Amino acid sequence: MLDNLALGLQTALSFDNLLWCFVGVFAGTLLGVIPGIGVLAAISMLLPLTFQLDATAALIMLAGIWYGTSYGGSTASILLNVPGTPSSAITALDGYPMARQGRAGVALLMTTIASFTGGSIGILLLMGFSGSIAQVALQFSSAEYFALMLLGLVAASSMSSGAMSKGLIMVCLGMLFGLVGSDVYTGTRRFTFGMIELADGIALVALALGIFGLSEVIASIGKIDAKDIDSRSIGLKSMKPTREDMRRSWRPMLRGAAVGSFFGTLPGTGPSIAAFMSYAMERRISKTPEKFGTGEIEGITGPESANNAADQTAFIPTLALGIPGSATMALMLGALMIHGIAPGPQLMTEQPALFWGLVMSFWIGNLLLLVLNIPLIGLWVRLLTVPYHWLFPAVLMFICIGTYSVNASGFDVLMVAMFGILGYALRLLNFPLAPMLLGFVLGPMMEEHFRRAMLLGRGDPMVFLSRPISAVVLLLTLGLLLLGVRSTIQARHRQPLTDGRASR
Amino acid sequence: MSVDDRADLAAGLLVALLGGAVAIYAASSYDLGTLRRMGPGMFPMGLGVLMAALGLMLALGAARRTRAPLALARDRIGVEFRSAALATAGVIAFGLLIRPAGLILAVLAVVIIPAFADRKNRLLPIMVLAMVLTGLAVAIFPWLLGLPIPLLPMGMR
Amino acid sequence: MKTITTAAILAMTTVLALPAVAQDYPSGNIEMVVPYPPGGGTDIPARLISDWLTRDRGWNFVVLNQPGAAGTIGLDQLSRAEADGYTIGIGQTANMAINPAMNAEVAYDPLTDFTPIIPIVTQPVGIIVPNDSPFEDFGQLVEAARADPGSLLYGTPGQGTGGHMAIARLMQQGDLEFEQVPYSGIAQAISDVMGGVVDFYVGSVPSVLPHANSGSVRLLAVTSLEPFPIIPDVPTVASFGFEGYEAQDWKAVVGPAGMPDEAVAALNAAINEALQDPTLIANFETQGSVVMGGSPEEFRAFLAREVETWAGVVEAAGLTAER
Repeated sequence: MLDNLALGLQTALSFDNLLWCFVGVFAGTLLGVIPGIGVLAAISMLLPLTFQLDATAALIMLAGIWYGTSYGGSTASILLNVPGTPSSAITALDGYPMARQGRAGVALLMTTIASFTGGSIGILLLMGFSGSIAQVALQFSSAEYFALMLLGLVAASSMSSGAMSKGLIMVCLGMLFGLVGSDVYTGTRRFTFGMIELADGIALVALALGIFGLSEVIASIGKIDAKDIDSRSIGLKSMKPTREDMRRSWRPMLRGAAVGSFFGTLPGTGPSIAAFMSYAMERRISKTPEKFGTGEIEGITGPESANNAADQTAFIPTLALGIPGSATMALMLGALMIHGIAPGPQLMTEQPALFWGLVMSFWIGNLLLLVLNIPLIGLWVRLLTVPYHWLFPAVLMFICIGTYSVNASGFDVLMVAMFGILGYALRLLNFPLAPMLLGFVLGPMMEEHFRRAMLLGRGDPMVFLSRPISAVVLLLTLGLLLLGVRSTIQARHRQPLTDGRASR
Repeated sequence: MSVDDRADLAAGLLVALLGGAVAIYAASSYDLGTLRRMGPGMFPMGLGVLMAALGLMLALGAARRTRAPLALARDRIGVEFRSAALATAGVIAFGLLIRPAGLILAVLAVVIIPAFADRKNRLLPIMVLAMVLTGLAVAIFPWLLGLPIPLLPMGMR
Repeated sequence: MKTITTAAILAMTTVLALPAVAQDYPSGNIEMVVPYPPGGGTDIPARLISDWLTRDRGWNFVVLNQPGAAGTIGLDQLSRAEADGYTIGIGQTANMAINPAMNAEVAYDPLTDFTPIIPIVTQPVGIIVPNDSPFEDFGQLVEAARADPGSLLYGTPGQGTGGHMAIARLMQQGDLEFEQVPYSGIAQAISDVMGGVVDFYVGSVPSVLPHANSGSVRLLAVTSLEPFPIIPDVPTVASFGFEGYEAQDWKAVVGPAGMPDEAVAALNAAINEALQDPTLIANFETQGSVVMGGSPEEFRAFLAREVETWAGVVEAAGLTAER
């Protein structure tokens, strides 16, 4: 182990690798700030550049972009209420209210610290327990995935304030949009109405930037005045979190890291789901859940820690089993293949310098991100002093180019327009928007896994209860549901239901 | 009856209608399959029914809170039609222009059209802003990142 | 004999014509449309080839990933691009031979809407089983299927993929019955094979070989006609009594219909040369594929055979699109 660490450190600290690590995290964090340019688009764009590098440097750089975007992603969420990456959409729920209260600097600093904490815990798990965690992940088949997704939905159903039925309706609406496209099992094109562009479904980036980005811009034009922001709130001093902020944040960060590490390990799930789950968990644990959505610090530190932890543990199935958990991870394996290295479980033993060099570069990269991001906060916060009537056309431009860059598709940009109008209408009707994104992400996976579990169980629904992990998760879900029902009834007895305005 | 209740009533009915339509469309256009091998219609149908039920729940809840008859409700939801129309038009213009007309014209469209949604914006500053942003977009995306986006209209490349 | 002579003459004329053509083609950027996401099994050969041509010939390639609808969106746009030799792209088994027969939305005709340029690489499909599978070899698996038709579940990386079609063809030829469990991509599928949830899995050799090499699954057979050069010890499906059985996943460079002959010849000659570079060959082999090459005419004939074969399989399996 020590030999490996030394070898890894030696590899990661070579001048070239250090340089490319810096290039990766720097590009990543900047691209994360720009709404729309997701990590997949960023890596695809920079992939050709890695032809000229050796395999280790190439992977170090691409990985740097991957976890770097999560650091930058929260910036636009907090300052503009427009998510930089889908996995930081949830950070806007409490980050943006903090910014409007003049606490943008604190929010940005705390998310950076949370990102670093989550990332570090993720790397520790990756270093110490890759093999065994990967074996556990292998125990998860479709029945377990379905049970987990159900648990996630139930946990998140109370994610936003306001009427629960409205949150559920939004989850369903998201699922409905998620169903658009080719059916995995039969290839039947559902709800595509003859449009071949919809054959692969609606692009996540189009939906996210439509309902969060464009609709936010529409709602804010003429409403936000740069003079509203207290000029003192952009100074360096304003970045300093209070002791209270720190005290309230460390537990959410640790819990977020745990949740994130878990979801990062499972192929198919990832940082977005991890962030949602962490938020739902914090809200459920909190003694003041009704304050979520008004600038609660737990609502940003938990999810930001979770998505960064997930970024790191996503490498566990990829490197230990050769199973890429997401399109981005597949791209990294593709980069290895371009360099003539066959990815797979033998990578760790056959290419120890590459494997451990990569892992040690994660430490260096995360440290670089920490040092890089803290001075940048001062700069980003100044963005708030730019008059909004000049800022919003720029935001729209970045949304459009970002969306286009993902699939080189003008159609996706048109979808942004559609979802922008829909999102704006739903906002006016006081529907919470975040559950819609969750439904969109989870819905198709739930269907896929449910149908596959039934197929593998040869039509017997008992398959969900006869597999131990699935049974335990379903029991947990039931418990959570009962708890929810109980607290609703208690709340109703205590006071008449006030019609709380939905936060988002 | 508050604005929120009226909105909930209308939205609930709308959602119920949508759910019903989805369920019927799914059941009639797609194969439902069997429990063992479910067809593409099963899940959408279930989802449609669920949405219809949730929509009705919302509408009924809102209706129960209602005391005043609908016609007496005066207050309205403030809709920013100008902002919505211009911002969306800008995005649509970008989507339609990017392929045939290239990045430069598309960026000009998405910056200039929505800018007029805010009455604080004047023509000259907007033109300057549009030029600066176009330069920025060209510098960042095709040049710095090597994103394969054509800059000029077809035929001028 | 006749074909060899023709091929030789063609090859010679191509070589002779090269200096003249090289002067006027290409005189600008060549756009290479890859109808799949970056880093995938189609993207990598495309990038390796364009990278080689850029370095060796100084031609300037712009790789444009245009993914969507199983590779048909990018190919559809390619079919409508200007046929001036400056827009070419990658076609392969799925989007040229399988999908046009399966989906009504596919607007192009694989035989008339494209100019065949050159096939680059090919790879068979591999059949893997969990380590603790009762089947020692592929023969036993077939016997079990005959004894209890439809009892065996097989995973594929998706509906209409090479793996799915390979088994569909096998089921028709051998009068067998298996039940498909489609996955969306390989991650979950490979994990389910390792966990023994499905009886066997069929996927491209590059995607299954690393797992077989590491000993986490066993590779029972490949679907090439002859043993595959990279893994000569793995028997072919054909060797278990399925005479002539073959399922290949090839990738090829094509252009829009009506490309100028000089551009086709220049590209064909240059790529043929690239495919003889030992480094490039070795690189393709680590990925589990072997190089193809050949003249545009040979490719045209090959394409026609493939389109006919897979359209037949799709039709017999009842997967034809309702038009």
